[in-house]
Amino acid sequence: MSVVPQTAAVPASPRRRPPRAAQIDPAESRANVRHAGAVMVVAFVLMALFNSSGLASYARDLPAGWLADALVAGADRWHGLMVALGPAEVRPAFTEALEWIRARRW
Amino acid sequence: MLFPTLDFALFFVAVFGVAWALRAHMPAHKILLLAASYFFYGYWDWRFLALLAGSSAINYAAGHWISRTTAPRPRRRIVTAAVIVNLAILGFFKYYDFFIDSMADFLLAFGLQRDLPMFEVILPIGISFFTFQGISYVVDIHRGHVKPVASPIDLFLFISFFPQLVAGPIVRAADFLPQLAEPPRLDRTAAVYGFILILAGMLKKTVVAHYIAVDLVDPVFEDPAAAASTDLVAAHYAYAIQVYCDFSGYSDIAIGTAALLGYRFRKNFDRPFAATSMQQLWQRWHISLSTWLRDYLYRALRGARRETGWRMHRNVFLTMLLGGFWHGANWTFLIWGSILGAALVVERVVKGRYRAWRGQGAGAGWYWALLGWFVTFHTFTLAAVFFRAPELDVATAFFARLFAFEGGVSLFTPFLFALLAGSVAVQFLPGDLFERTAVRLRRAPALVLGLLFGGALVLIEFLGPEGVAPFVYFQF
Repeated sequence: MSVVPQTAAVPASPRRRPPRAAQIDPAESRANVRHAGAVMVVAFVLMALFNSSGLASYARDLPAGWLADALVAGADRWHGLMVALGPAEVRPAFTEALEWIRARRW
Repeated sequence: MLFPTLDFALFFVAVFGVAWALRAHMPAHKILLLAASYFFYGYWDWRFLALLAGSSAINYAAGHWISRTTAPRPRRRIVTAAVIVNLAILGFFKYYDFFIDSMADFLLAFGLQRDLPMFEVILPIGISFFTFQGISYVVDIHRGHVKPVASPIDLFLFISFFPQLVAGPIVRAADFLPQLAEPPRLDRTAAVYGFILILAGMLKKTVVAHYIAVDLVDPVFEDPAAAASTDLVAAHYAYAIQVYCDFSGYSDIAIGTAALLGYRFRKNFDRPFAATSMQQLWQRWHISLSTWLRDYLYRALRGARRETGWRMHRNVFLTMLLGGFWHGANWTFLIWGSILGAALVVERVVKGRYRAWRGQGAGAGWYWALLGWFVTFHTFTLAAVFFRAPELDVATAFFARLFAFEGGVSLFTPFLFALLAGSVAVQFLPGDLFERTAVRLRRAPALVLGLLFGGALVLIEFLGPEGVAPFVYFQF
């Protein structure tokens, strides 16, 4: 904790923060929000494609109910499709490679 | 609700969409963020929502009371009372059981066996952080640094805003409240910076901190007497790096999510393992707590006037000691705080004497910086053994075995070496690397950024385990 009152010059990085909100045009801000939203949508699609097993296990952990049943069925179908098409096979291959690296000894 | 989970991702996307849809209607926007923050907190345990609201209400009332009182002495009394109430709430949840246990032991030592009321108090998550923000708000009003907010919604949101609610960074009223005065606007660079921070935080928490913990630190601290010396050496470095990755990872995600909502937080970690002195380390490690302790605890100990000499050293040491005690009512935390406090004092005394002897410019060469880095890094990592050890016996067993130099290597692998060395090496990269990367990527189309962000998230998800452990600082 920097409790010592008199400090020497510290070569820490500049505490630069994003520009103040007032400096940004409202129309530009709206465009930026749409842009950020689109980035998130693309990221979600990629996660759904390559991590369908994670989606399926997430759905199975939901509290029981008709909605959870429907989500589990949908997530399982999606995962089956991803296995058939290939993206779901990437994770096991990746995990296997990682486990091999973790198991190396000196 | 933990940050690196699908629960949080769905929650955040929903809040992001609705909050920006309401941005032109500030009261509704703030109420939405407040409701989302209370939902976020209640998702862990809804029973403590009343505590969060009560703490906010006390500080709101105290702030107004202070501002309406003009005479210095009554103002001081009000702010003192508000701080005491805040600390009493924190103290009850953090130290009640420890106090009752100690009292029972003390009475038993004098042959007085008593059945004292034990509650097995559950520590509400984030209580330290929202209490510290409440204290800073009333003290800053007393000092004239901020004006009390007119709307209770502003104060309730300041204290409970979900990105920083459960483990900081500790946000100051002077930084946050002005941002509630006008509709938020999203800067492209800030948004990209937010995405980069979220990725960095996820990588640190779910990959680096996870494997360091499960493959080395946890098994070594489970039984240090049975561990090989090389594993102990590696584990003492590893724990400091684990805590850094865990906690700075949380802070990164918090700052990143706030940035995507149009709110700006200060940095909470700034490459602390590149520090070349203890003083510099604390200017880079958990910056929001370090500055909080400086402004509210050290200043309270020091009083109004500036000081030098042993009084200053005593107050620096006491601040660190109390900082250690804040982490928990355990001898290990007190020793940890004492070591770091003593290191700050010794460093200052030695540097002062050396400069008095050799002149003000002495100690400025690269070799001094290297020596300073070595001593600082090892002081911190060795002290971290006390921070991690659940009991003093475990820490003493750790050090006894560490210097026995027996047992070869059992748990420490090339993979862990790469994680540790990489974590230290990146500390020497430029401090504004993420900001500069955000500036470079700001013109990229959403599809390209989405593929980069999503691809990196997928990679982190593949590298990490299924499920995620709670963050280390949730327990404080």
